[in-house]
Amino acid sequence: MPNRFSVFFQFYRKFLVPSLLINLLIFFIGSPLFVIVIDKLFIAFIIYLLYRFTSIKKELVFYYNLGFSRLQLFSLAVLADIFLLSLCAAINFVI
Amino acid sequence: MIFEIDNVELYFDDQPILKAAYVKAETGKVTGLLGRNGSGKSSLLKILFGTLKPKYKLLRIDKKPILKRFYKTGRVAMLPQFPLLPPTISVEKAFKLYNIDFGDFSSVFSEMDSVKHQKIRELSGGQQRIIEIYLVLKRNVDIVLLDEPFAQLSPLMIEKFSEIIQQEKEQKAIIITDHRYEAILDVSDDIYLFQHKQTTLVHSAKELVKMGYLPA
Repeated sequence: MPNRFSVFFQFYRKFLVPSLLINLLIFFIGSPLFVIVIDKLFIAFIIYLLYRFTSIKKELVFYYNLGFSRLQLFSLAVLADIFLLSLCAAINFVI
Repeated sequence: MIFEIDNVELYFDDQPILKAAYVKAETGKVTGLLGRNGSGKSSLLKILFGTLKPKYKLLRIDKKPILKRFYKTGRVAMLPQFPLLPPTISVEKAFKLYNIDFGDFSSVFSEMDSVKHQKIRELSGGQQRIIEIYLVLKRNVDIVLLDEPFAQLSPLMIEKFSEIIQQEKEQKAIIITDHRYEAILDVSDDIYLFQHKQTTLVHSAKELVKMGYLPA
């Protein structure tokens, strides 16, 4: 079996830079934590809908062939995003 | 291992596409699907794979029903009509993720040896297709679904892939559909014709003529 983390990272990497930029922007503005969480969940939901109802859902067949489901990919992406957000919050706190 | 998809009923905007369609595939055999454009061949593959939900269907493996989307079991791989590989991935990475040896590939397709470190988007459409077909065919799964694999390939490549299909069918069931009916007839052990929203098992090219799929 291929390394599942590598497969997931292949999916998540296109969201990595935009997510980091949004995090930086959020901390620069100084939004409260609940606003940040709601923003993040809203963006994740919109991306999920795009992958469910538009032609970009075709991209997912590559991952389906490797045994991933759409729900698994998006759940992991949200978890990765929470981790990234926590990391940015920690760096922001230290600075 | 025997795979059966039965009682398939599919509608698009209330228009029936498939009604009581049935296809059987088994390990050691290649099952070919033929039919006119819009007859439901690709839809049936998507239904089997789990990316298209019909009104009804029953999928069985060795008589046991499979209730969840089949791709979630990790036992099936599909080559869709559209490009499969992410354009930003490197060829080497794609082989690594699919757990397939690039060396074995380049020993068969020596002209592709130089593309190992290139990104998928840097390859021609034909080169991309060759890699996609190879990766799907070689995946360690019980059943492989190929939707128009030969569309962008030269006759020599079709011959090479026909040989690989014959090797791979020893360990897995293969279902293939394409409009190059000669290639499908050559490579398949069983043929289903999609006609009048149903499927019929056919035994010869003569039968295909009689049924109006091939010209007399």
